[in-house]
Amino acid sequence: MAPENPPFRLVYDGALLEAVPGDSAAIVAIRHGQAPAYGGPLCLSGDCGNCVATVDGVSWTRTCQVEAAPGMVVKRHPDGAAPSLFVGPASVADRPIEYVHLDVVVVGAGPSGTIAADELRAAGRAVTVYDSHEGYDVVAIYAGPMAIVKTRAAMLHVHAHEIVLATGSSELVPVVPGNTVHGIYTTTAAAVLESRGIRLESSTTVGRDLVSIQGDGGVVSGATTSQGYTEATSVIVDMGRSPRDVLVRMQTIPGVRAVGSAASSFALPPAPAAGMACACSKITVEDIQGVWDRGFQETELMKRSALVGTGTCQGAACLPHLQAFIAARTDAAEAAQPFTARAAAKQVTMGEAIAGFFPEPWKRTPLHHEHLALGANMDRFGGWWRPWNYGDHVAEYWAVREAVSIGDVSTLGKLIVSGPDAVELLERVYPTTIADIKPGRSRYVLILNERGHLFDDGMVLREEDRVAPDGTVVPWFTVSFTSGGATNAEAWLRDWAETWGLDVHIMDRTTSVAAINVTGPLGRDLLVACGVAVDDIPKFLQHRRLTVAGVPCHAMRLSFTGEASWELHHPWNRSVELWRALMTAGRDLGIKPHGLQALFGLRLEKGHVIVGLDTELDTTPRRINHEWAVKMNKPFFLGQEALARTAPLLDHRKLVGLSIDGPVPTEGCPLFASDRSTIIGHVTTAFASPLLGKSIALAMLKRDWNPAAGLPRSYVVDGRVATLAETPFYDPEGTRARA
Amino acid sequence: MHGPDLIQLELTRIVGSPAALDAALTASDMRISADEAFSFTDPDDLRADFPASAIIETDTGWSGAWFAHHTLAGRLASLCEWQLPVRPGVGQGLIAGVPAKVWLPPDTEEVLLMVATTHAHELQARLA
Repeated sequence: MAPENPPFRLVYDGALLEAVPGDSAAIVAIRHGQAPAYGGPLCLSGDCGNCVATVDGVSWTRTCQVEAAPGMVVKRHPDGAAPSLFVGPASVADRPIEYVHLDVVVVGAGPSGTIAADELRAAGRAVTVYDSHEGYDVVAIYAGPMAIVKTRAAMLHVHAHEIVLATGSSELVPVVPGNTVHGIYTTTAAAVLESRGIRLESSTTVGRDLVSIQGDGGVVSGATTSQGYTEATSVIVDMGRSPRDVLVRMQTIPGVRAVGSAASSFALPPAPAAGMACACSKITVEDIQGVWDRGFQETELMKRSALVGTGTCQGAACLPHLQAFIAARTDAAEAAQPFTARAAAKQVTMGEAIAGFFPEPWKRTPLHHEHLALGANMDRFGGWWRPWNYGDHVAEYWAVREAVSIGDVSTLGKLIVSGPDAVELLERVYPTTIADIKPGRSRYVLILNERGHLFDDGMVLREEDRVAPDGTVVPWFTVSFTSGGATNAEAWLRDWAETWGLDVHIMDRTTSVAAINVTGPLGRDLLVACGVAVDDIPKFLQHRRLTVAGVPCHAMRLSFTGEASWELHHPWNRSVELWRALMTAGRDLGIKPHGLQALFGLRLEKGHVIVGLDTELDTTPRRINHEWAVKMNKPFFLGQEALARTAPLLDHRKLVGLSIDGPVPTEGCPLFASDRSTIIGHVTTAFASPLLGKSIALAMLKRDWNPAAGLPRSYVVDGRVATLAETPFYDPEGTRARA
Repeated sequence: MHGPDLIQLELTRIVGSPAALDAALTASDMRISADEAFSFTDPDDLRADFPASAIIETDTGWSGAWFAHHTLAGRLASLCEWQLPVRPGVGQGLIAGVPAKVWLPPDTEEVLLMVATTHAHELQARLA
């Protein structure tokens, strides 16, 4: 009859080792005279991190905390190096997540945890106790408070009113010369081994007077204390204890407290003079002395400069020794305060770390399926799925230049601003004048921050004022932002309105109002074909409410492409209807939809910048030749003071137009001086212009040219000569846009 | 797997002073912040109750579905870090990584799950 729990074998660094049921993986190695990892003191309590190895494809596993199983494969990490992060599918396998909302969580079911739980229950609190011995490993504490708990079945995100940390204490491991050999155990570890039937023959027990450990062939051969040398094959260390406070050191926030030994003070170990201080990151006492000598003389600084305590145990083993090191050198008690611990307190897999994570969702316009039906190649821009082209961006380009085209611009930011102080708010946030915009008219605006740096642009459209029954006039505006800027537009405007205490209301309509841009010399004909009276069609920079093909629209006349254009803003749920009506009505006019690829080229011919592509984080209006859009004589606008201060200064940064023979250069490529000796800028955007028959580009000059001498006329891009060109490249008088 | 059918909603969106919203709206309206709310009442019927500066617009940019409370709560258990609010109330935050709202109106056992239509396809897929 077979025994009930027969021995089995596992693979340890390629060798088959026999295990006794109930052994941890670390015990199996020790049972066969081997180190679970590469030597060093072992606590066998999950604290020290000296037994980490790759177990069944998951690296950094504390082998003392993993029960051995038949067929388990354990592989030691490379000696002195980190293992590959992605060692196998097990490390990234999806883990289920559970969100749990509790009153009080007590971490640790030992004596202090039990007492705390009993007291809380007596006070009427609902208490849940998590203990690693019961399969609930609390690996992180965050503000909230929230605990991340690893279980066999799932990761738990536990939101609680209060978290009580009763994690107890752990034994000190020695930091002395020779402490990297195999065969050093804490008294707890020795007891664990004995309980598993492993006797440490020829061992010596040492205390705080341990001076050094001697080794032979990587294993213990003896120990030296203040009393002298003792020959031994294993050393049992009894140096005292320290708080098991990794979780405590993660959050010092209301709602999280420690009790019992985890909150207690223990005597520091003797100050270390030499040896391996941080086994996780392989930091020696000599390394620590080095950063001390360079002036990093408190725990947080020493952690960052020497990397001590940044490894898998987060200071559980090394922190007391670091504190003792500091305490021996300074009277400043605060210098030796514990450093903050970072998640995770025990290693988790990538799959466990990202449990519950969902990728950022990408928005769709209401015309998404229309684009797909038309064969669009969709791409992601500014948080949206958008058509890059419909298969032939040159044909789309010519439709805009010579006939009519429609484009989906639903992604633009669109806000309504109303209220008695609406004019005041917009005057303050925009660098152009607002009060003189008449109802039914609009104006292009730059959007600057307090430093005068451009972070977006858009349009301001003034609507008819509303009049309250008491005669109060309420100005009313629609303001637009770029697609990329839309996300933060409302918060930006609201912040300033609240900061200045202005009486305004702001409604974000970005995802409620769709928009289609009708553009091209036959655009007017298309609107007429859709039932709009010629006289009702807005003129340049006018806007009006129209019904287009039965769909109510707010029609805005402007131009980004360089041709006459009307943005038709309309209800989100009527967009498909309007799109199809326009496509049908435009069939005889040669209509084609255009994607971003054509649009980017069309606007480049006009020299229009795209914020974020042609600009940098510190681009001022002057750098992109947009001083015309800034009225410095206004009483105030955001960034005005900074622009006034920097106006007299020489600025090497300048956006210029380039004309280049041959193929279009790569966007972002370096711009060389004409003698090819120096990089003086970079190409921001480029386009092979079908109309001009050559490549054109915008480029940002940055350095090593003399602004006082005027713009250089010649450059080298992509190994070819590029010539300074006036912008706009196309229709510089703007007659087509205004037609 | 098929997620819940999220259908396009036709709502009235209101932005005004908190005092104006307090005075004009009831628990049957969905108050999402001190100065903003959704209502199922026609905008023309609401305007008379608000000052001229209040912005009151029809909004068709949202999609949603009604659920029995226990059905939605069960569905969200592993998808939603925050707890459903107490009725009547509105909860807002990420559901399966998608910004969404849940509304628990008075006098019913149902819950409205709402998401901007721009994100409806993502939420529907992630709830499947």
